[in-house]
Amino acid sequence: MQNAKTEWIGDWITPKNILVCVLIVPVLLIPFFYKGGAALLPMHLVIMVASYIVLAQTWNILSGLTGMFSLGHATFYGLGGYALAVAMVKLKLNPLVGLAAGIVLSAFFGLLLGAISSRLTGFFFTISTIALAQVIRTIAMQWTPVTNSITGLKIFRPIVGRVYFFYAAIAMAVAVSIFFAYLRRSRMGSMFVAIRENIHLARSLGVDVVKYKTVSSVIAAMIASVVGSFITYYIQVVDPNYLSPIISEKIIMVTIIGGMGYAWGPIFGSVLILLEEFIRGTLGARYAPLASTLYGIILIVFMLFKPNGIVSINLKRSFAMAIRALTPQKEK
Amino acid sequence: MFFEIEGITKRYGGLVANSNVSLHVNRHEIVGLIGPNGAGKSTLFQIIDGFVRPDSGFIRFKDKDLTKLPTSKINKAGIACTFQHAQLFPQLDVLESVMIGTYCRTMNRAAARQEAEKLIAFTGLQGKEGTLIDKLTMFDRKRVELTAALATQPELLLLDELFAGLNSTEVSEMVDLVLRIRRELKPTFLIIEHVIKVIMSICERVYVLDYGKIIAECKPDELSKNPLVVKAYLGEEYDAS
Ligand SMILES: Nc1ncnc2c1ncn2[C@@H]1O[C@H](COP(=O)(O)OP(=O)(O)OP(=O)(O)O)[C@@H](O)[C@H]1O
Ligand SMILES: [Mg+2]
Repeated sequence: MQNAKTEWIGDWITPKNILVCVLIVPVLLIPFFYKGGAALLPMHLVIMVASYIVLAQTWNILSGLTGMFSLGHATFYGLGGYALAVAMVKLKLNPLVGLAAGIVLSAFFGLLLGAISSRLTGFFFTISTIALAQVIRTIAMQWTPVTNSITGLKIFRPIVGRVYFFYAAIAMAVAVSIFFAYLRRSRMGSMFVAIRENIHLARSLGVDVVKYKTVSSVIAAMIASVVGSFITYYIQVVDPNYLSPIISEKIIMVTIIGGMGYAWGPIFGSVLILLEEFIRGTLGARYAPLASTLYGIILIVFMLFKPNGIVSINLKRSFAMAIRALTPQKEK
Repeated sequence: MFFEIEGITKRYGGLVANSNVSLHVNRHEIVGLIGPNGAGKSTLFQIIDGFVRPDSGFIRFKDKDLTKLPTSKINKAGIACTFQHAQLFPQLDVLESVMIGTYCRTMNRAAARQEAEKLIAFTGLQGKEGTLIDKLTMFDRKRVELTAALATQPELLLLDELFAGLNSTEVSEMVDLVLRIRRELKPTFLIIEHVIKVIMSICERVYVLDYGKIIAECKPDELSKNPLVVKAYLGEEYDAS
C-alpha cells in the first residue's frame, strides 16, 4: 500500500477533486446560458469569488503554509490597485506598466515583511503586518496629489466585454490554486511547513528559515498585487477601501473557514463571498457590512466544531450521519 | 582535530551554566557527557548547535570555527542533533518529516523521498510513513527525530537523552539502533545520557559535568573508581558491582 504522499497525478484523482471539477463546468458555461444583460450579474459574482480565491491562496501560502500569520494582506491588493491606477491616470502609461509596477512594489514590501519576520515571530509579526497595512493606507489617504485621497482614482479604459474578465478571473483562480497545490508538494513547500510546524527543528535540520520566510512573503505579495490591479481595471476605480482591514479580514476568514494550509481551503471558503454580494444585491449596498458579521459567526461556529475548515468535513461520514438523523428511530 | 570545544563559558544572570568547558571528540568515537540535573549538559549542546551564543570560548569542527555560525549552517557543516524534549513537526507525516532532513542535501524531490524511505526502513519505521507525528508513541517519535537528524547526513551526531522515557525493551532496541547506525553510516557520537547502562554499553569515553565544570574524563568502567564522580553524580552509596 502506498503512503499518504503518493506521487503526482495519480494522487490528484480523488472523488472530491473530480466532484469539484464537474461542479465547475456549469459555472464556465454561464455566459452561454444567460442572454444579454442577464449574464452580467452572475459573471460579476464569479469574478469576485475567483478573485478572492486567488487572494486567499496567496495568504494561504504566507500564513497557511509558512505560519506567518498576517492581518494586513490587503496591503498588497491595494498596492496593485493603486500602482495600476496611478500609472494609467497620473502618468498616462500602459496598464501593463502599472501591473508590473504593482508587482515590483509589492515584492519590495514582501521583502520588508520577510526581513521583519526574521526578527519578530508569532504575535509580534502579526502586529507588524497591521502596522504596515496602516502605514500604506494612511499614505493612500493623505498623499492627495497622487492618490486623490478618499475619493480615489477613476480610470478610463477601452470597453472590454465582461466575459473576458470572467474567464480571466477563473483562469487566474485555477492557475494559482494549482500552483498552491504544486508548491505544497515541492521542496520549497516542505521547507515552508517545516518552519510553520517547528522553527527550531527546521533550523537544526539545515533549513534557512529567513530565506524561506522571505521567499514565501514575496511570492504571496506579488500574486496578491496582480489581483488588485485586475480588480481595479475591472471596476475602474481604486480607493482606500482596497487597503481596508475589512479586506484582510475577509481573506483570512474565507481561508480559515475553507481550510487553512490546503489548496481546496480558499476555493471552498471563497464561495462565502457570494453571501456579501447577495446582501448587497437584495438589501442594498448600505447593508453589505452585515456580511462581515455573518462571516464572523460562521467563523466562530467552524472554530468550535470544524477547526480545520470545510476541507476537513468527511463527506461520506456526514452523509451517513444525516441519513441516520433523518431516519425515524425504532422504539427500544 | 575532528571536533573540539575550548573554554566555553555561558552565564544566565548569576548562574554559570557552563564554566570554561573544554572537550574534544575524535572521528568515529562515541563519547558520553554525563552529570547531575542542571549541570549544564543541554546548555552545552545548545551552544554547539548555535541556538545559544556562549559568552566566551570556541567550537571547532574539522578545523572550521563554528562559534558564530547560525544553526542551519552548523547543520550544513555536518552536525545534527536530537533534543532532550523530542522536537517534531506535529502536523506532518513521518515521511515528510524525514524528507525535511534529506532535502537539505538534495534539491530533487524524488531523490529526497527515496533517501528518506531508505532511512525510515533502516530505523525500523517502515509502514508508518503516512502516519502523522501526533499519532505516534514516544519511542517512535524519538526514532523519527533521530531519522530526520540522520537524513542530513551528519558526521557528528549529538543526542540529548535519547533514551530517557523509554522502557527497558525500547532502550535495548535503541542501543542496537545506535550501534547499527554507527556500523553502517559511521557518524561520530556525542551523547548526553542519564541511563548508566547505556553509557556502559556504548560509550568509549565519558566526560563528567558538574555545576558547569568538567570534573572528569575517563573510560566508562573507570567512573565508579573516581571519587569526584562518585560524589557528584553517582551518589555516595553507589555500588560498582
Ligand atoms: N535559557 C535559560 N535561562 C536561564 N537559565 C537557564 C536557561 N537554560 C538553562 N538554564 C539553567 O542552566 C542550568 C543548566 O541547565 P541545563 O539544561 O544545561 O542542564 P542539564 O545538565 O541539561 O540538566 P538535565 O539533566 O536536567 O537535562 C540550569 O540551572 C538551568 O536552570
Ligand atoms: Mg538537559
